[in-house]
Amino acid sequence: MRCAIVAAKLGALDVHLDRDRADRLDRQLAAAPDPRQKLGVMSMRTAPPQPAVTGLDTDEDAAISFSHISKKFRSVGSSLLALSDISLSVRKGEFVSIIGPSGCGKSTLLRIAADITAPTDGAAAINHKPPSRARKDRDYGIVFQSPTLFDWRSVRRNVSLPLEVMNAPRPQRRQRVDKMLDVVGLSGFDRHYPWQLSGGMQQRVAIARALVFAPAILLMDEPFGALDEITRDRMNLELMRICSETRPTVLFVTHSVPEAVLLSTRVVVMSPRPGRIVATLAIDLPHPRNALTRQLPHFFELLTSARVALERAMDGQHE
Amino acid sequence: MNSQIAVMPPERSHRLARAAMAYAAGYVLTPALVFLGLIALWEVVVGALDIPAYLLPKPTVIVSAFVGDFALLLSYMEGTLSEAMRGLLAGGVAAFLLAAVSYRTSWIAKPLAMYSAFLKAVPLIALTPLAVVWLGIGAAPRIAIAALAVAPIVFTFTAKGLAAADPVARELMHSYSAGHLQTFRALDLPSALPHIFSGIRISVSTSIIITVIAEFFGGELTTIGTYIRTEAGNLHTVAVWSAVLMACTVTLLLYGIVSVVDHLALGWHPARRSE
Repeated sequence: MRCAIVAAKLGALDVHLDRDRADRLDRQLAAAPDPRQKLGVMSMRTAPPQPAVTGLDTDEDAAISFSHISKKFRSVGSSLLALSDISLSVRKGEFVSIIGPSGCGKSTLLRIAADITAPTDGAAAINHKPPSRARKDRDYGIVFQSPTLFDWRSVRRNVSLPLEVMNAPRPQRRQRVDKMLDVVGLSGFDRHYPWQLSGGMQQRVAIARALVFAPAILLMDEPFGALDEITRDRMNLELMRICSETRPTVLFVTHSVPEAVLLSTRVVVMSPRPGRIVATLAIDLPHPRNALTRQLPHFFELLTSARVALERAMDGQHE
Repeated sequence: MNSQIAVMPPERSHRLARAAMAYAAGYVLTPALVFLGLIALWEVVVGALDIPAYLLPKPTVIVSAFVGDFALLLSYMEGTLSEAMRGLLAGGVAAFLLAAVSYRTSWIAKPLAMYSAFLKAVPLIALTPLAVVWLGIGAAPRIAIAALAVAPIVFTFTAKGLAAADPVARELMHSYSAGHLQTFRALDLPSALPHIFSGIRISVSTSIIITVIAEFFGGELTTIGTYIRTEAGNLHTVAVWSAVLMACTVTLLLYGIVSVVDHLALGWHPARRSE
């Protein structure tokens, strides 16, 4: 019933409407005001409906897939191979982190998924569509390292920016923004301006903005890279809570190993330039994860294996 | 969990008052004191050396002439101001539209920037007699000259401002599949506003100065420029000075109005914020 109402409201939203998005909106709008109450419910995952496979990728459950991606940057008189033969598939509901040294092309890979830049070779697919199509269908939300908030807009109007671009009706904008500000814990800050907030709060506004139109996929490019470590640790927990409420598929680029291990279901380790995938670690820490997860012996084991894989990738360069 | 880092809601009136005080101290008080000192020096030197009034009148004499002829000067200034503002509006709007239409198309924007630089190099005042030949003896030639003087300024500032938006913010708009017009309205125009305001501020004084000078070449007899020319021809130095004082006062007033509007409209801008 509620689902039908939300779907009807969404009809006016100029976005590609599918049952997934309607379901997500439904879940989020029905959510209890206190997010912590809901954590117990989170483990009951219902299988989302399967989209048709177009043959672009091998894994039919893939939300994001890269096949044989290479990227060359050309400048006057020289060319630089940034990515070399990357194949990776992120399944629906997964949280995949890409770690690697600076300049290994991990951000480039994410930008290819977002259709901000095009690969030189190979193909990427978002929800089995070419990234350009997925971008037009508003299939993903993106968060950059800098919050990239518009200084002349209040927090509320920053979060509602994508809905304005998509011509969502005003009442729905209000409702969605209220919901997302609640999810990121910034209710009551809606009339503040970005420069009046701390760095961590600004990045939470950016996350709310990325999720406000309920995209199935969240692309995050070192979102906490500019924050101090204490804020970063807290933001990691916040992000886990936000994801447990909104349940997007996440592709997360970082150079922090503990962050990657804590948040992810899978960690992909990349080599220095030209970036290649040298290891993939399944992170089998129990859910729901929290601050205590960081104290588990298994957390340290995984941390060590990720570090070893990263060091091996670095050493490979000198051989 | 966020309440402990709560930020005080901005108290607008307080902020404005504090900003105004700081502004007054930095931009008004000190310069005004220095200015008054220099004027006093002028007064004393002219009196001590007994310089004749037709060479350099005392400030007090100028001010009393300014006050005595105030109604006349004001009515002349009205004529000048009307020409200058029509020129500013025509040139400014045309330049803004050109910049807004062309800034995303580099093969149009680049030649336009070149032409704009050329136009800045043209001694427009020298063309004023020609403008009179082409456009008649009404206000039109001076409006045209003022418009041509202002256009390259507004164009340069607007084009620069529109191109100055944060590239990552552009990528963000791209990720929303925002159209050109949406990106213009939501991102590029607001980012450009500080530049545009700077352009307007410079253009206001430019348009008045160029109009006054263009009026030296004829035109209506009820303008500051023609008044200055006539009185200078009669060696009425005091009248010339009082007319200059009137033009200065009005220009400064307009400059101040633009600055205040700028300050109120762009409170969000990092360079304008007082915090």
